[in-house]
Amino acid sequence: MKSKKHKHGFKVPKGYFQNFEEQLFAKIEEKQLPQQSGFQVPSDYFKKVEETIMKRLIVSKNPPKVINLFSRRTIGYAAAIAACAILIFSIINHTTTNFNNIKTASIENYINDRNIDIDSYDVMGLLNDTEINDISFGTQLFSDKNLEEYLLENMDDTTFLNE
Amino acid sequence: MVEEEVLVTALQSPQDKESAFRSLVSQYKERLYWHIRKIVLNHDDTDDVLQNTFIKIFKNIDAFKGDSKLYTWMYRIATNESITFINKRAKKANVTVGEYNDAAINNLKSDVYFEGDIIQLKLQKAIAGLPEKQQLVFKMKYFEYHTYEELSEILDTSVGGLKSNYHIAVKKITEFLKTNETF
Repeated sequence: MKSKKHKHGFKVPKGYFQNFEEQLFAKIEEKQLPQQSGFQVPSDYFKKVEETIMKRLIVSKNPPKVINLFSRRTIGYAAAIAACAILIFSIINHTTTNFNNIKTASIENYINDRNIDIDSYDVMGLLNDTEINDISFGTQLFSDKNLEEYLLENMDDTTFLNE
Repeated sequence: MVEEEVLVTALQSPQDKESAFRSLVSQYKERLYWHIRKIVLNHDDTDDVLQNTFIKIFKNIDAFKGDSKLYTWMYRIATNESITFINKRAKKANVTVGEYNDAAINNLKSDVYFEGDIIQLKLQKAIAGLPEKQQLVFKMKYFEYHTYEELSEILDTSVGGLKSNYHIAVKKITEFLKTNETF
């Protein structure tokens, strides 16, 4: 074999010729792809965006004042209002449920006016034997005449026959 | 590089920060916009992410150590904000990121700020079918003017890995466009 005529001294990167074809065809393929992306941008956008960014920076440097809802003063006011509400509520409840202040005569009239449906047996159930024996009935309701008339009107003859 | 150093110094100085930041926004708003737009697709969403990106840059510029180029650092923030945005939206809609992106691409058909024809829509659909990292590599290399070295810094991936990713992406996309005649 003939030796090379001259030494030029040039070198190539390692693996260059092995990879050359692959790189060449990749380049050719790339050139066949669409060259434009198709993306558009609104007119004047790039002029306006600078100011938009600077305004946002000013806002971020000076954040709006945040009012703390849970400050000592606010909590104090809320506690005072709650205490007043509790006080008022307890007073209202105290006056409306104190039956001891209602006069006995008022209760009697309330019952006699048939504002409440109370059966005598309900009342008897609330009394003990001593209290029952102490009850004194007005005699005018049980005069002999009234009693005789009642018995004649309401008694069943058969009751006596069975006695 | 000297110009960047001067800008960073001004950005990290309390008295010059605001004016330097205005200059930064003016210089990079379009590049960052289009980078974000390629990821989130919709103009309004891009606007949100772009603003959030610059706010984040402003708030964190004091922590920038100069380990990378300033614009590399900003691109990284923009990329992360874009991906976070999509992930949040997908989670809120209770769908996968893939499903969310598919819906976003379908919406391009009626998007007033999209004047692409069928082939551009198909291209977006093809890109959406790639793995997330590959999508990013393809979009940044194909639609933007980054070298592999710049991409390597931004995406924290080796140049070789990026080249491999990109060529595989091109193959897959070409195959998709050939086999999907209708869209």
